Amino acid sequence: MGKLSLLLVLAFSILYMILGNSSNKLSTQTVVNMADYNAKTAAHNIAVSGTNLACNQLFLNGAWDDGYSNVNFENGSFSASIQVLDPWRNIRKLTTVANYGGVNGINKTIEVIFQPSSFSKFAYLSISDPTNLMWTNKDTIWGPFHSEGSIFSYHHPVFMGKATTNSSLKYNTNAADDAPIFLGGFESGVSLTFPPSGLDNIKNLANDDGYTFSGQDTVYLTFAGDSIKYKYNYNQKPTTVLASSFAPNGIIYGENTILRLQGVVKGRYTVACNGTSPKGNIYLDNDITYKTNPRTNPDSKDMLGLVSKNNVKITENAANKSSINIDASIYCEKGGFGAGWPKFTAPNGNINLYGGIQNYSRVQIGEIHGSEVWGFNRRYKYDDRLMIASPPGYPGTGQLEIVSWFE
Amino acid sequence: MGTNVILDIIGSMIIAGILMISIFRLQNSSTEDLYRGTGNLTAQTNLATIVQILETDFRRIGYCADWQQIPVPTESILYADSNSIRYLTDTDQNGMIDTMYYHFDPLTDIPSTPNPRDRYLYRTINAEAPVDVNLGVTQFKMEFYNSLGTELNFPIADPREIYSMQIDITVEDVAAYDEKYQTIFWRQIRMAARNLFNR
Amino acid sequence: MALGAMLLLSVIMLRVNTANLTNETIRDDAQYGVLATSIATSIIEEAQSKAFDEKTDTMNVTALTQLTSVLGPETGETESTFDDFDDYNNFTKRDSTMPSAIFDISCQVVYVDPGNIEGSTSNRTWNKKLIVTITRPVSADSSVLALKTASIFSYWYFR
Repeated sequence: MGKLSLLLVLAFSILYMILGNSSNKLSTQTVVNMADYNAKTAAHNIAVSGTNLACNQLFLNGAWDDGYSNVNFENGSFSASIQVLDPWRNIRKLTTVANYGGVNGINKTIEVIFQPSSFSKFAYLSISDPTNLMWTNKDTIWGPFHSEGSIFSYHHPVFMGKATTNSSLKYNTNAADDAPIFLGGFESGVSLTFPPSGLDNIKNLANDDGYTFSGQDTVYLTFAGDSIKYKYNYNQKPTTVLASSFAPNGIIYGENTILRLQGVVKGRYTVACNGTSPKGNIYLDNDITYKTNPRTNPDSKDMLGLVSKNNVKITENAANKSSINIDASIYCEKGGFGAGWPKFTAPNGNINLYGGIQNYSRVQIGEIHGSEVWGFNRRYKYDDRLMIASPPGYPGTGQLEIVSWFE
Repeated sequence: MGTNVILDIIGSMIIAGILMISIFRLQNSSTEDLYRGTGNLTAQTNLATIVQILETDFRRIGYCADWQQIPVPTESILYADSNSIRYLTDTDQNGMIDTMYYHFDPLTDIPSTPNPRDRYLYRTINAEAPVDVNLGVTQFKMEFYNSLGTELNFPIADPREIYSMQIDITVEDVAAYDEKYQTIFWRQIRMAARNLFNR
Repeated sequence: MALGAMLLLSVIMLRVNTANLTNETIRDDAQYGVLATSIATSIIEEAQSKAFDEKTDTMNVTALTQLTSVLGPETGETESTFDDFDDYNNFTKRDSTMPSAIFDISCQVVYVDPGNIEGSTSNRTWNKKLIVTITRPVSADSSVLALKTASIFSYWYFR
């Protein structure tokens, strides 16, 4: 009996050894599983850290390309390098490769692509709008938005694109009643100012392969599809030229003049006007629209940029008394876009703008009389094509923007 | 003399009985531990697999090798609710937009497993047949927040408001010893994806 | 012999039970390790979604001297109102929302010099490091370290 008991116990102890070995292996595997997950997360953290460091360098110096090589961090290391993908368009790629665990460890790569940012991307941008300017529940801003001052919000305006400010978000009453609906994200502490000589580049491009008007008080410019007409006096017979050969690179520049504009645009153009006030203003004498309507044909190649040292204004004339249609991205370095009439005496319909506005400070378009609006109502719609294309020579912000982030 | 023998025999039987019971009890305990350990390892491995795939996929919401294919990145999330999300991405980085759809079916039991609580988690790319992932997922829940930190109530009227999300996943082993299932819970709060707020 | 067998069995039982409990502890610790990694990731993601500095939350900063020299939440700020990365400095929290265990979160934020990111500096720089420590209380007065990790956040925006 005793021998049998001993044999039984010995037999089962062998069995327990086998079971115990299996149990140990299971436990080891759970630790391996946890360590593997932790390693991959650590590698990702290292890669993100390296990317942040490199992004800071690029932010401070857009031409930075030193990179980082085998920088130790958190029991791993990372390397970062800049590659110029397109030297003509200055498109750059930042690649950060992180390693955790040495040669047999985990590698993690993050790739970020940058390109120069153009002001034409913005549906609305202002440097110094009035402090009593409220964005309200009747406002929908259809593309990227930036205000260098605070964003004042009343009853939930809608921002379809990314909204940024160099100041803060302010509510008329409180967040519950007034918070905007941001459908593209919101970021504060972002500064975007106009370069002081933003028209210089356009001037150079116009002199190179565009057209420059100089020595004229006023230029009347009419786009007529395949041709362009211009004159220097209202009563003068216009000169008609073939649009494609008039300004081959699409840039038409007026030096120290007033440009008066209207017509139907076929092709890609930027019309710029420089000068000290009262010069350096663009006036819209009538509709200025695209020959192929991008609203119905997104493949339309027609695109217009209006770049003014001072203002882009709607002329007070008979043609504009009942609505005006404008297809363009509008940039006003020192002034703004609007009507700016001395007096509004009746309702004038809508400003049907298809494009974007970037101005120092907006110009009045109307005023409220009782239940009526005298002057114009805003019907602004963003041209989505401006997210990936811009009029020729349109002013850039001088900064880079991220177009792709892969991790 | 005879009484002593009988007492010896009875004593031996009692001792043997105690031995046998102890051995079998220990055997049962070791077996249970082994099964539990196997189930726990399976659940932990499954959880790690799921979350790594999820983290990788969600980081690429709105990404395309040809970024101009998604010029307005905030429009990448097409649909989102507490159990599912559909979004644009580029799974094979070939510059062609793909649609990824994660969907958890909380109602339909998986008949092939003893666990009554496990459900299929589907990961569908474009119009392909859904790949049902049977990794013992018993809960897959998401909450979404806008850029001001406010939780978005379901149904989400406009998924473009999504700025960050909280993901809760519970995984159990698909079969367990004596129906004692190992449960592992995982939670993460994360930004929806960096690509959404480019430009 | 029978007594010897019983003695041997008792030793074996003790050994087997100890091994089973140890293995269970190891498996549980592995599980907690996965959870701790996830919690740390959540903290890092939340912190990196904030502004780089209290000053950069409402204005563009061009000089290091404009950055805050004292890292931490501003007066009256709580976790739900943190608005910049270094508000997480000296942040502690007990996370008891996980069904399996309780975790204690402890954070530290320091400025780092790009030439020595493993260390820290008292000078203001364009880079900050968030160190997240996750521990798990095992008794009233002791904890075990579950995870310690760090991530760097820098001042940049591209618009």
